[in-house]
Amino acid sequence: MKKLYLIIMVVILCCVSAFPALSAVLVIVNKNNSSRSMDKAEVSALYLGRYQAFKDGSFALPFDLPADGEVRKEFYEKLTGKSVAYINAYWARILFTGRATPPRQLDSDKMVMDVVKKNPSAIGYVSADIKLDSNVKVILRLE
Amino acid sequence: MYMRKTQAFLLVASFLLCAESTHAVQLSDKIMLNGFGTIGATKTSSDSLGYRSSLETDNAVYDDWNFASRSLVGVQGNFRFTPEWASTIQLIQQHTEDASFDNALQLAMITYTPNADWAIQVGRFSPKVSMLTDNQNIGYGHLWTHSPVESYGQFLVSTADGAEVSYTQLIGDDTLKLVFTAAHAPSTYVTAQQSIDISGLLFGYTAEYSHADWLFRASVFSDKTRNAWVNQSLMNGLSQVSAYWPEAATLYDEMDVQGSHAYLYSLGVSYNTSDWQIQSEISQLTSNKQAMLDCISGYLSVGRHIGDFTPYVMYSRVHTTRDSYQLQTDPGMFSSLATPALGYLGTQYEQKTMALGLRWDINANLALKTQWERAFVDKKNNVLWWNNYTGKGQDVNIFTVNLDFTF
Repeated sequence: MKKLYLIIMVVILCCVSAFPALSAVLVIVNKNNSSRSMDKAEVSALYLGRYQAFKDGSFALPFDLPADGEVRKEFYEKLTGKSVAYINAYWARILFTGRATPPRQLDSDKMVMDVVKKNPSAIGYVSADIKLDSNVKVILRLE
Repeated sequence: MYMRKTQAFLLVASFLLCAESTHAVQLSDKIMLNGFGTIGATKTSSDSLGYRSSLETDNAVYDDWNFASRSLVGVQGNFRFTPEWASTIQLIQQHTEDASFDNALQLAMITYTPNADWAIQVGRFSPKVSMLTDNQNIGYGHLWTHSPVESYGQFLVSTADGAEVSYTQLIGDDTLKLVFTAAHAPSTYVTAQQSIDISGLLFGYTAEYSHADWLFRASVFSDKTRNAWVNQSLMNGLSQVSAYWPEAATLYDEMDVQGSHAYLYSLGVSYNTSDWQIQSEISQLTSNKQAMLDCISGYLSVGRHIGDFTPYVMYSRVHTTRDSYQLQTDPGMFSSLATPALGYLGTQYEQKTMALGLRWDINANLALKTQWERAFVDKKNNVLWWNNYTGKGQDVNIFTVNLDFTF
């Protein structure tokens, strides 16, 4: 019985260690952006096209990462609790009515950082593993 | 022809399945091209009642696989001139009665967004008369292979030319959006005998409230019929004989639709989480003319997300709320006028459908869906179907397979 228990524990531990640790996702804006922090609902409203401005009323320009990427998957699941497939379908319904366009997709975290540090209207997200540029600031951390 | 279509379907489907996910084409910072499409195949168990997706099409599906009924492709250009000004153009290619460029042009509008709260759209757009009317063609965006025919087969408004003004307000973590619509809405009712232009002037108010995983929606629209679409020879005949058969005047009045109003009231709710995708809507269509529709329709859909798969069930129903016109007097020698008049005044819907389906999200832009439905069609009230004068009801099985994609 003990041997069986040990075998089961080893199998479980192997399975757990086989999954990569889920890293945090950082939502960033330009250091000159008036927002000091944002909550999930506010960021969600921007990334789901429900609202288009920061708290000070200035237009927000959200940026996305590649459609099949792991960071994008983590971002939307942590932010909205919904799968990337649902988010993609959601945006398809809205985009093709002409009423809103989804966040523009960039190829990498680095590109997102480059855009955000140059544009006070930009908002993006990057993996917490990336080194942040001094010209951006984190307004929301998604664990 | 059947084998060539099947082979073409399989070839295109195989290509899409093997391809990596596709992306929009960003031509510049200000110009983006996107597209969407459906490769769909539908078949029913009936060789007498022709299934069709709406009253606007003559493409009826019987007990052979039909690829034209659901298949389409659309391309869209989005132009962002400044943060405040943008434009959208969309073209769709699908099987349709009217193959003109004007009919293919689904969207052609300019959007002005002076601030985050207000947006004004002018041009050609898809009016949101109910939850799905502005995006029915976007198969990838929906759980099912198609929107429920009971609710949407009769809403003959897919595009309109006019204006839409929207106001969005954040209320804490929630969002309230109010929309006013004013437009000319072209639409065509296709029968075996003719295509009837039932275009109208559309006005409506919509309110949408988003709270966490919930969306609540209410709308009211009025449509003023522009054309006298009832057979004018019949109308003239009734007018001439009313002195001899007074009830002819009543029939004339009930069919005198030009300038009359139809009203559509809709309530909808959706609940979407990581596990569940639930949506329901109820609508009432009413008018003051017997020749126009008067019915209640609705549906409930429940889907459960399991990894990349979402099985779902759906129940939909339509019920006419006004009885067919019954003659109060004997038409006598004027039966030749009374009979076709009663045809116009006897349009009835009575149908319910249960559906079971599965959606597989293959990648970020591609979904495969399969759906089985059983439609319970009343023997007298089968107007949604083609060749509907069989005089007998049927329970019909409908099978649909869709490959929906975006790029």
